[in-house]
Amino acid sequence: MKQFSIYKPKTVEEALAALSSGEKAAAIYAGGTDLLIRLKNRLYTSPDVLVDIKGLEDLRFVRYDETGGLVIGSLVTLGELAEAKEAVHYPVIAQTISSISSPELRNQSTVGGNILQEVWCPYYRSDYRCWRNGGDICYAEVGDNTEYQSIMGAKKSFAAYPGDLAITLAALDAKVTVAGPEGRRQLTIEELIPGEVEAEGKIQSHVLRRNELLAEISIPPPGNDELYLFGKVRKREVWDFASASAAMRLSLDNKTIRRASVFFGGIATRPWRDRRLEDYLSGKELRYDLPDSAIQEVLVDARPLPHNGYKKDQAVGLLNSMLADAVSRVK
Amino acid sequence: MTSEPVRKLSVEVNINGTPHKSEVESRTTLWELLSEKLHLTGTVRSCNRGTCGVCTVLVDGRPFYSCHLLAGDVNGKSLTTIESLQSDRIVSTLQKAAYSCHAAQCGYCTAGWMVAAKTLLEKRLDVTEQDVKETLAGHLCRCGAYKSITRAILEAAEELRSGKGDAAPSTDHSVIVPMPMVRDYSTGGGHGKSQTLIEGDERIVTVKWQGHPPAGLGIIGKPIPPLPEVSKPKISGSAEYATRVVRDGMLYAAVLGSPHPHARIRRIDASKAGSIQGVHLVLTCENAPEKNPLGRELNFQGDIVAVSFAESEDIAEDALDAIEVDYEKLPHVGSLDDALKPDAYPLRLDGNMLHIDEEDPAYCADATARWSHGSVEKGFADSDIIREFTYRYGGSTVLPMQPLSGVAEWDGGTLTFHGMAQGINASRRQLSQWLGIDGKNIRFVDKWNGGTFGARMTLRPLDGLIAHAAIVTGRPVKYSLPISSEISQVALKPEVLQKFSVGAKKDGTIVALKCDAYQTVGFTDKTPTAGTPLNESARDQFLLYGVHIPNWQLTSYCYKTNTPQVGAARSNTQQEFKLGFECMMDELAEEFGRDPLEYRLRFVSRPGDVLSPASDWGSEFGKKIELENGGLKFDSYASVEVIREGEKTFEWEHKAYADIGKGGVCRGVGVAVVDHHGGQLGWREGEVGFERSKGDVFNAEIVLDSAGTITLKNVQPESGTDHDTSIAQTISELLGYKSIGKIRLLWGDSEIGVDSAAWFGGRTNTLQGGAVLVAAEKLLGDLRTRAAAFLGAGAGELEIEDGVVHVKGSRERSVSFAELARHAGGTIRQWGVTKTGPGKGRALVRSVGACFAEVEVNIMTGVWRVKRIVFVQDAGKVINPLLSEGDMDGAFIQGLNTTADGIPWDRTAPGHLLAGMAFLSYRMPTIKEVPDEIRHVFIESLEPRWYFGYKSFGETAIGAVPSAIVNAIYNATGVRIREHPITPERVLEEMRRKVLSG
Repeated sequence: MKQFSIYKPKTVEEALAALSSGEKAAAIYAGGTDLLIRLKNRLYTSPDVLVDIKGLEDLRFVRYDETGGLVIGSLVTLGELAEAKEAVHYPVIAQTISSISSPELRNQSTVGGNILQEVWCPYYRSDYRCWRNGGDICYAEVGDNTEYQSIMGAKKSFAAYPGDLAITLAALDAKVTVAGPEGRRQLTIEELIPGEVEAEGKIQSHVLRRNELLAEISIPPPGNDELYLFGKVRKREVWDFASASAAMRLSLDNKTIRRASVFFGGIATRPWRDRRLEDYLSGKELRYDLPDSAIQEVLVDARPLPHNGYKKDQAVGLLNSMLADAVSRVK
Repeated sequence: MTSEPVRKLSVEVNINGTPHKSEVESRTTLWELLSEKLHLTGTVRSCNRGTCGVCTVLVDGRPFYSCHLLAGDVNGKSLTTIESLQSDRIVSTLQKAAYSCHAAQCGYCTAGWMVAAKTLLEKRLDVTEQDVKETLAGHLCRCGAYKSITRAILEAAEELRSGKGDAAPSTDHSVIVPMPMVRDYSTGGGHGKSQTLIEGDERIVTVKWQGHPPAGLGIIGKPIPPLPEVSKPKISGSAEYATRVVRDGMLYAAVLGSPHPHARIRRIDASKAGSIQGVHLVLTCENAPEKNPLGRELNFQGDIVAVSFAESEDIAEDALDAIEVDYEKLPHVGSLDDALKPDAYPLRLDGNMLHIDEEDPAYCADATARWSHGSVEKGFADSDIIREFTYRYGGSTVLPMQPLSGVAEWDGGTLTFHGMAQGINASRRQLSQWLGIDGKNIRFVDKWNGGTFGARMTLRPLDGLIAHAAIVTGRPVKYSLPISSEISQVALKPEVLQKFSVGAKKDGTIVALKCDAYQTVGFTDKTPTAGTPLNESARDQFLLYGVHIPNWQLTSYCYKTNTPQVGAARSNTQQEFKLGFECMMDELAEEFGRDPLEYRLRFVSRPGDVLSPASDWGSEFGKKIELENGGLKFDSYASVEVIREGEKTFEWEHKAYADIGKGGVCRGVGVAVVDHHGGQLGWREGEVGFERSKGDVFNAEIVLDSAGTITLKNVQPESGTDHDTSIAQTISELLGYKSIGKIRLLWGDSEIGVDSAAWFGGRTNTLQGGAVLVAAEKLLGDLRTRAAAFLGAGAGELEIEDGVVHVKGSRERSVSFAELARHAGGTIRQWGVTKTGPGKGRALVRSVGACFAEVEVNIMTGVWRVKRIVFVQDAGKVINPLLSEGDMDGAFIQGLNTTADGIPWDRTAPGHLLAGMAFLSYRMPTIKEVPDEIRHVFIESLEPRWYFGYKSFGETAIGAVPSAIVNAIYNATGVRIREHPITPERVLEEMRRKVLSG
């Protein structure tokens, strides 16, 4: 593993101060499941200083807010969140988490780290000097883009955003609170992860600045008559990242969809909201023929790379089966 | 800020109830703290990236991967590791169940899953199979022992719940179908019409010899758990894999591999690397030893550029970063497609295609080798229909769970090497050559391997460099490669392109079959002889069907490439060739409207069939084994039984492809049948052929002592096959024991003083086991003579029962084996030897396997899962059904792996690997990919030429897995996948092609 220094702040303020100091950006070390691989693979841009925030108990909680919504501290592990009794009103969260990595890694990975994880493009992870690793090229755009790249286009870096929890949270209208030296700000998941952000001489998926950290996630209270769905396509049932994943919230009037919220994972540089599909679905009745008609409207503006066109098929197929599931659940 | 970032820290942690305090680097992982600093070596490490689970420990009662936590993360916490668990009731129960269920094959993953299973049973005891799957989801088992592991956990739960345990070991998903010995057709030293037979090209006259008939057996055929001295250390975390060897003052090696598939080192400067504190040596092409040099020319990605040696792995890697190398990139041949280009870069003076010896009957000028029978031209002229089929195999490998590793120690005069290979003496000889040290001064120790699977058959030059470094630095030296490096250091399965032309009559009768098989061989000039290592199994299917096809021709084209070497990888050249052949048989059956089973049955060879003129088969079955008494006949060959019994067990019903079910999910069934060698049989001492054989020699010694214990000296390393247990069963049977309890084993160490050839290719139980049996036979004769003298009786009057010799009809006139040994001065020793025969041994030792598969395919996502398997094996006498069941489970899981996944090549840059993501780059099945139902059928087609009628198996049916799955996917979807690996994207691509073509 690459050599680094580690600093253990006792408060959020100390952590923010540590992140601000130094010439090169320090990295937040929480669960570390992603960061340690980058350090072990000695990526050119892997950090020299880690700020270990695991001791910040202020960031480790799951509670209700005054509106009955859920607030999750960013240091809560995926395993803790899946088991949290406060989260039972959103079973789709536990369902999403159960599809992520492995039980042991879920004991270690934090909610914040999962949302902010780096891409899994094999060129990046193998220390090719790409946009995300101190270079000025996307190897995958012209090279092997079979598994881990966007089918929805990109400006420069085609690596797909790999997170599953983020799409579920986005579908639940979650907001994140970012703590920085100037105080706290709230962002939607879409605002937090626009996909390609130039910072510190490289491209990253999220908008956090070097001196900020993700503090908590708030989810509005569940509405009446809502359906939450999550699905994931991958080669193996453990460890593998989504070839395509999708999270959906359907707000219903009896069997009629009042409002739909649909996000895809693993297929774009960010959690991909399919507004055209959302518009199509709203006002439709959850009937047996809806899945087959709806898939005509899914990801119509996809622009796959030479090797990953199948990911669109998978995303469409996934959406189809999720809608079929929704139909069977309102019967 | 109140404090500064630190690079060193102090960690206080309670491990298994004992407090420890340690100074570590900020980057030291928890695994390094446990194993390398505190010498708690029960927890082993494999991928070092959190993608396998073998290093799992409990932190405050919850499971974590110790390779993927920093040591500093556990400061102030309580840890539980496998070492603690002897005193823990749950774990001792788990360990007992793991032993009796044979849940540890190589044992490398055992410590990890066992601590995770403890957390499950702590919560509750009414656990289901599904609970086990969820709990162990993050634990890879490379041997594929998932079913036995699951069973062990469920049995442990049951025992903890009910207080009742000690159920007798048994199998639960296999059946054995007995068969009478097929005697009449035997040739080649078995049961010919006369007592005297003439074998081989040297016309050796040999007396009929049958070994011992499989009749009246007491121990053979019983499901006995493996020998405790081999198996229990695997379960308790104390089996000494090379990775578990830790010494004070030890140096760690790191390897710099070539980033290019072909390059020359213009300049290399390791001076900065050498001056880093903690670095003791850096070897490059400029200072590597003459007898084991590092080249300036690098011939595949990962070819070794430099090796650094430092006080920790991290520092050794720091040194690699500081080496300056100026590479001159050279043109390369990175794939089969590259090799087939007319303007391929020349890697050899006479073309990149290799040729076999001109003397071999299969030699031809325009290809690597050609075998033929009849005239395909004539056959095609006689055909009503001619069809062409093309299939591709993309290559694969079987990385063992134990990383490639070794430890060298030098005491000034003797080198001790803890290695990882499939032979003790061969490894020692190899080290002796590289180091220029007399073999007497080298001790090679290798008792347990965390799997080898043929991919790690022999040592590699890197091992020699490790030993060299130990001598130069005077320190113990260890290496343990990351996956990204080791994939260049194990044997890979090649890329294969097969083109078939088939000529048939209207009724489907095949009258001409032509196959052109193109493959990569990696960077080697070694001309493959007709038998090995490359083309051997490509011909297997011609043995299975070729007798009933009047005209056939198989041509092999082997190309040198800038890729790592190819070779055995859980069987040699099986899956990669049989995938195409058995898909073709399926396509033909459909073409002619036949059931796939019935169609195959029309052609399969059967006992009594005479192999077509021997010269068609090249050296293996050709010039070297030509029999005077009527040609080579199939005898122990259960082709029909394998198909029929599989059909029955699977409840085979083959319909045109199924309706698409809900959510685009459909199911289909498929089958494939394959031939493979049934082990190598040679000659034992006393046979004429033995004296003439110039082949490999297998030795064994057995020693009876005055306590009545039989010590078996079988030097072979253990890699998860537990061959010594079945060998112990055979000699216990022979010596008249009622259990294997009297057998003690010495193995895996050159100090044992028994030189024997390495094990591979199905010759462990047969040839090595045969040497043991020869010794046991001699011991038996010796004991009879001694007992006769002792009891004053004739040898013919004696009976032997469980270690006691008595005179027939008067049990009080008896003497025990132990007394006889005491009388002989304390011990009685006997030595046994066998030798390989010509080619693959005497006569036609073949076996047949079949895989029946039911798959579920989601046609919208292309994802497929195997739901049900019946795996059938022409097995010979099954010595131990428990071990056999585990072996077949493993063969299926590994076959599934080599179907679904390949080598992580960069698909756009031939010769380049993208292996930086450990077991995310290279995927092996998890416990969740295990089919709901797996059943094995063993056909006991007794082998007439060997002891008790056993032959080798486990490697045969594995060749049927990829094609059975592809055929089932076709049956489910109507889409035929002709290119491997069989990924969801490929299924979708073919779907789209089918839709577009209407």
